[in-house]
Amino acid sequence: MADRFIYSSCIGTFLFSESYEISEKIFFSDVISASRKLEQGEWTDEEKKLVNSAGGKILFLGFKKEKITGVVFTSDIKKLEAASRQLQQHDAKISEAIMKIAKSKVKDSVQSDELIIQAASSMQELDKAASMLSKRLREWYGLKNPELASGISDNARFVKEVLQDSGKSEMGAEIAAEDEAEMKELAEEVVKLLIIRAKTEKYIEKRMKDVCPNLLAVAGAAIGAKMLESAGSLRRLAMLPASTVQLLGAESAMFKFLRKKSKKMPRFGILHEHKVIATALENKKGKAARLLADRISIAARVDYFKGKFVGDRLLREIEEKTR
Amino acid sequence: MKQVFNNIFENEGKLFTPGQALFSEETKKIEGRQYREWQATRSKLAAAIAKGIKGVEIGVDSTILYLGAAHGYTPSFISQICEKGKIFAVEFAPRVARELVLVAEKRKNIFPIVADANQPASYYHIAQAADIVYQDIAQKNQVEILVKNCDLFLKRNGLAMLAVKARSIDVTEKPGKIFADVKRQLEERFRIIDYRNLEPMQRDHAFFVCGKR
Repeated sequence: MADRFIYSSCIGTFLFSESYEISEKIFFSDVISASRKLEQGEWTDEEKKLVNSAGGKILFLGFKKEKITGVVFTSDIKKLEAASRQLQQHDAKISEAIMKIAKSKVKDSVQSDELIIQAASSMQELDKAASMLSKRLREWYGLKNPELASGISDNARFVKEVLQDSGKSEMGAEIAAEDEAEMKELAEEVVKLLIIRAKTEKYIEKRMKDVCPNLLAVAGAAIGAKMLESAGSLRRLAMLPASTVQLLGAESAMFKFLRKKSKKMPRFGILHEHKVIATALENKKGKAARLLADRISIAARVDYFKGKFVGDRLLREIEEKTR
Repeated sequence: MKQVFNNIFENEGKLFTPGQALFSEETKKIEGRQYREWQATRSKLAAAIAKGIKGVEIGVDSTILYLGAAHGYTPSFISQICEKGKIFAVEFAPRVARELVLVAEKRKNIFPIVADANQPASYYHIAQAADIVYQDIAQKNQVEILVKNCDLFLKRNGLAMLAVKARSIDVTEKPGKIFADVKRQLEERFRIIDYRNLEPMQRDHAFFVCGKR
């Protein structure tokens, strides 16, 4: 003796008769918002309507947070088998709905900190590319003017000089205009990379002001973004203990030390580049790193939980303690 | 080309399924039919079959609930094996599910579900009653997840297939002991049909095929 029951699929809600055939149905007007409710265990208007029209006392195949008088919940596999079989007539509609729901989930999953992290990775890769091509340019242009190639250590300045240089060199070979033009083309590309890199850093700063202003204030754009990248997300960075934040970027050195293959315990990773640590005395660097990591950790937590701006107070604390 | 199971073939120590390549695999054409290589080092199910596991009865029109679909490598092969069936592929991580959705656009019998397999109620309106529940999830409470999903979705005469990653359950324990524990836990709810250790294709992994009690 079988009972009638209601089951909601992603396309709509269905009333099944005692012979487990579809006797009534209401399609969802908006598949995506219906799915959001269903996955949370909330009632949709269409379901409430169907429960009413079924006479109030009915079995519901599924789960809901809120009880409705007269509705009894079940998860009987036999009923799900029957429902699945009956729903085959709507296969095309169901297929379309499932794809729509999955795509909207992927769409909604992109967080604002991901944009910052991608930009940070991009910035580092632009650095690497610019550095690699500058090296190549030094070798190449060195054929014409070796003094210039080894004279200027800063890549950006060297590349600019290459584009302007028409000077003579006693050691350099006589290079035809056509050959020199090739070298200058490479120089132009390096300049472009450096420009994009600078723009990216400005972009990161702008985004961080929006998403994590405290982290920006305490760690700065470059270090803050690299930490986000290392942790994977703002949430993960906020959940890390401060001691881990201190060592982000120095993992290989740390594990080497832990495996007793090194006698030196690293005191900082990415933090090394921070002004406070760079300007601290050698025997005070460790303390500075610890204080800085503590404040960065707090900053990340305030940002993640959307608190007030305390970045300047945190910075002041660090400056006072490292005086 | 020797047939080992329905739509699964073996040739010179490698496994193949009929169909086009989807992840830039090698393909072979024999007697006018296109076959696609299924690498045991990339797929736990392929490794289990390569090690001679019995009972992997995936029918041509089975409904399968696949937990832990990831990019969709193994699901794409299962999709070719049960060409007239349906695969409800659950994957939690959106970045990875993104790839799965793209595979599902090409293979019309794969239905992607971006959800947490630990909360099967959250996709009760999407997944349907399944002949096979296949699980490849690296979590400590793997068996609990399998049982929860089988309770809700596995048909009475259905099969449960579980890939066990010893390191995800306990990094320090010996894999052999972990597999023995898992076997004991499974025997409380299922009837174990066969199981294999997946060395050397997959380190510290085992694969179980079970029937509902």
